[in-house]
Amino acid sequence: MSNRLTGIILFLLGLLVILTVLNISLGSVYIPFQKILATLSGQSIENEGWQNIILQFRLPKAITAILVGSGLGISGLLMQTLFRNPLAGPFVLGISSGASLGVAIAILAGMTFGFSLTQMGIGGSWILTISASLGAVLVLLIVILVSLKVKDSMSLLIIGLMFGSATSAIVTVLQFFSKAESIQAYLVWTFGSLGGVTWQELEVFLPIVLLTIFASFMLSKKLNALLLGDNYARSMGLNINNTRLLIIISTALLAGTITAFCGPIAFIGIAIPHITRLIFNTSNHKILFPMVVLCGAILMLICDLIAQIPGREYTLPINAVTSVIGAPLVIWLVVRRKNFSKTFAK
Amino acid sequence: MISGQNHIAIELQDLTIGYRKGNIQLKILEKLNAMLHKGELVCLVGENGVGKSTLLRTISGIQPPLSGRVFINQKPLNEISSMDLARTISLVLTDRIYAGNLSVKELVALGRYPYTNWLGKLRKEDHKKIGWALEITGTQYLEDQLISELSDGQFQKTLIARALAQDSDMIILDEPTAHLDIVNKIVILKLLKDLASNTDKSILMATHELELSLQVADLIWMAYKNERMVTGTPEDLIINGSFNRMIDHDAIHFDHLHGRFRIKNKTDKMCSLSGDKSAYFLTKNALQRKGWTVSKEKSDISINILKNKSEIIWQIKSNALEKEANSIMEMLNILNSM
Repeated sequence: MSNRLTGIILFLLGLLVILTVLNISLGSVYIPFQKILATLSGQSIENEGWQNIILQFRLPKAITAILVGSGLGISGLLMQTLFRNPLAGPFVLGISSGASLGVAIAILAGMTFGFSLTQMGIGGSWILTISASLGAVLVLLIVILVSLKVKDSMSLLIIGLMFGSATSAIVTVLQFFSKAESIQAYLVWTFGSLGGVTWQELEVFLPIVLLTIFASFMLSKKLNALLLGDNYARSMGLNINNTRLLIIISTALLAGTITAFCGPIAFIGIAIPHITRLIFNTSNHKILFPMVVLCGAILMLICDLIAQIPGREYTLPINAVTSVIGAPLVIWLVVRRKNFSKTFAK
Repeated sequence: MISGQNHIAIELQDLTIGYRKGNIQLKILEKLNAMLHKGELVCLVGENGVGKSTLLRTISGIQPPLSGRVFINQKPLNEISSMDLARTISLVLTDRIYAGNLSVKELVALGRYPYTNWLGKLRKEDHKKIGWALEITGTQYLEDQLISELSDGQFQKTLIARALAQDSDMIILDEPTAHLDIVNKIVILKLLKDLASNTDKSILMATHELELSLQVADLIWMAYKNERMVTGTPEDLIINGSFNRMIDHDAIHFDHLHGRFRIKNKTDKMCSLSGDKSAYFLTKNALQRKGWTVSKEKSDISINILKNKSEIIWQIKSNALEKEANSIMEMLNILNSM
């Protein structure tokens, strides 16, 4: 490993630690820095309110941000390599649309039958998560069935996009027949949120995301072979169909779980792999995987910091912040590196 | 090159290739019978769309045949596991590679895919093979460059190095010299020729370089549309007219004597040519291009090439005039004004 690479990695690791602490320190309520460090290192402080905010709210939120950033980054990387398309992201196979459909049915139909999820508190958030998962799983199963039938990745990409459009259309129809307040509740979900994940939910969320990231890291040799195209990959002994299935399942697990717990978070999944490729100037997945995890976590923490607007009561929708921050960053990197298009093809 | 039974690397038996759509078969080439021995370089030639790439895909196991059989090292292709096949056949294709950010060494190292563990960790043996592949293709000096920065010639050599790193008995190449300039074309063909004779690897290559393939191929497989594929040494195929038959076109014919294609010209003018040997061939070439029939016998117009140290003079004689020219262009101008 070159010195430059080691330098960048150490810098990013340092940045990640600083941003995590910063992320926990800043929020609508001011808490002195020493108290935060004390709480994080396991001591109890006099002000129980502060301790609650730090341990029950800000810490799980920071962990969630790290998981979301790295998970979406990895699933974006998987999709871009599978489809050899720089515009592919975690949601190209219609997974977020499936989750949206699940949530739309739960909120919009739920209200029609007279119960409101927003009034159900914790139980309500689990119902949201479960209905989002069911929607994502449904779309995933269809996509897998189709992928067994369709041998060509490009066709699969188009079919995935069509599924997405069709599911969104059903959501629109549901909205058309719903009351204003339920539409608003649905809209709030689509804004995305990192703050809603409790420790209890993290017990499910964290292992799924970490295990899937680890499992997909084991695919890095196969992904490198796929960079050469299906024909070369097959000629080197790679089983294309199995590999494709594993990639789709990993992506679906990551993107589906994240959408279920945090809503559909846009852009990060497409941007992170590009940012990482441009910073490290490589297409080698053995380097890209850990670096995408790092960059994803860092960018998500930054987005969350901005979304909170330190000192204010309001939180901006995280979904908007990721695009507002991510888009200029990618544009800047692409313009600075004039050979960007070449990083994707020869 | 030994042509014993044990040295057959690839054998096609009544092979029909093409595509299957439901119950409909789209046959592209039929009843192919051919053989490729160890250490041989075989060029597969034929016009665009005749099915060269489909044949290569079928032989390398990417695409199933419609009927007939392919034997690799005397084993039926469909009975060879994909991992064994990967260690037997490596490919050099014209496919785009979607990773300009891969370094030359990383790309070549991917050739070790069938030999490395699940993480693709390279061991001593792997590094040795990669080093050898880079060295023999003359690409060591590029090893840290990204493939997006390579010229077409360098990229092609890198792809061949990757195939070599795969350490297979056979290499199948699809138009490895397309898009290359003449020097690089010759460099690549020479490299493949040397590989076949020095390493005992069998090489099957689809190409449009008919004239160059005459000089390097041990054997030519010549595919025609809707006809049997013809195989033989380049010289045999020239003598029996297969080359001429392939180019079924009014404007081109194959010059048996010189082993090259010529554009047919209207020849309504006659002249005789004599004199210095070093410029004779080129002068004749220029005259033929301009539509003259050149002979050694006497004719109304005669041209004599005189060489004086480094200076060459073309003397043009006819009933009407006698002139001298200092260059071929001048000579042609004089002839033109007559």
